[in-house]
Amino acid sequence: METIKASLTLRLQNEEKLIHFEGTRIALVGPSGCGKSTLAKILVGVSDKGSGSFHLGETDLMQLPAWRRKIGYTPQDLILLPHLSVKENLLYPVNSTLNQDVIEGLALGHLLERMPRHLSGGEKQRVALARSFSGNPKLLILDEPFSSLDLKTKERVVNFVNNTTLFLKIPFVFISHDENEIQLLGCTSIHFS
Amino acid sequence: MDLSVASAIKLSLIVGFCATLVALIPAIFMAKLLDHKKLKFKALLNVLIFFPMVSPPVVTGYLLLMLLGRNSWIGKILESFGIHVPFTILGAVIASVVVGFPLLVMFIRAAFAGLDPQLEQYSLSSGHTPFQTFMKVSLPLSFPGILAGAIVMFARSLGEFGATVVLAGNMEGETRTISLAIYSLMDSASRSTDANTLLIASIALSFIALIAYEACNRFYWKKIEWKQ
Repeated sequence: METIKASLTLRLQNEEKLIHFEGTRIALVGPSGCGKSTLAKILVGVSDKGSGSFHLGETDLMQLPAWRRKIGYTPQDLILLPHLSVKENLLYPVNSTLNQDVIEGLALGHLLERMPRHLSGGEKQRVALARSFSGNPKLLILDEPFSSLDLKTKERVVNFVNNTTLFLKIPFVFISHDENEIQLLGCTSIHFS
Repeated sequence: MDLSVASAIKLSLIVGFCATLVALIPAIFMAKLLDHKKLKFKALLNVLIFFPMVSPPVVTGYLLLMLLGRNSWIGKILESFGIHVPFTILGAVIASVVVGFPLLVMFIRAAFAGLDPQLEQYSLSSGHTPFQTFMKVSLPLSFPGILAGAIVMFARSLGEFGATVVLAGNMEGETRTISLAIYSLMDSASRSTDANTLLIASIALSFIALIAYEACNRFYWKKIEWKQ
């Protein structure tokens, strides 16, 4: 599994923040509004509020545009493309395939033909998570990916993410408030203030 | 129906359709360009695009005549290719495009501005280039706004008078659209019957345009609904 190594400066509203981390499973922890989601967007390549380096193995992803980074991204706001069905959303990432293991693991089989607006918050979150795996990503950025799930589903989904990322050898950056989730996923916590 | 009345209706439809078709793609491009926060000379571009909307149409027509008339350098170039703009149907189309373009851009820009930027951000992160993202996300999700803009532009073209009369003139069977025909009939003896026919035709066309918009809009949402 390739190592993530980042050394970044974030330009937030009234301040600049320096952040360094290294590892294969990184958890960004901190209070609401401290810039975690902005950092996630910088890592994904869709925000210009940061500068520095963000290496995956030998490649500095900061030198690549967002569409060449091969990152599986689960945004915090459950963004699904509203004009596409669940199946079409799962197939949206470039070079994506419908992975039956992911569909079964996240219990999405019966939702494939539905439109996003007919899904509950938890269902949307599972679809967004499944979609982040569907483009054969080299890295995952998961921004509070379990926040809308009930306790029982959350446990199953956290285990699924843990096992799948281990099996596929995909490193990830995980944003969460939940220490329990961070422990279950065996992440290195980076505190963000 | 009098032949001149039929010809005015036919010319209005031709001018309306052509003007809308010609303006649509440049308007989409311009709206997307103006959507960029960091665009240089954005204020200047805005002034240039929206000037015909705030200036008197006759002034716009006169400026177009100076720009594209036979004595202007653009006019001379066009003439050398056999293209005549003043006092032709092409002139009427150009007048309608210039006057209606700002409205079309305004509608499409509002449609783009209403999109959640996170959808485009997500698309980029999924490996799609900005152009692919535009085609697969921005354009389909802005369809109702683009359609509304096209219908308004078409309706505006049907009613265009000032710029058209200056650039294209008012020649029966060649450049006399519904608005110009009604104006011409106001001084003629046969005005009551023909003017009334044109009036009804004009109102009917406006209603048909609005009904077409509703139908297309419903079809679009039905298509999405149907997929569930």
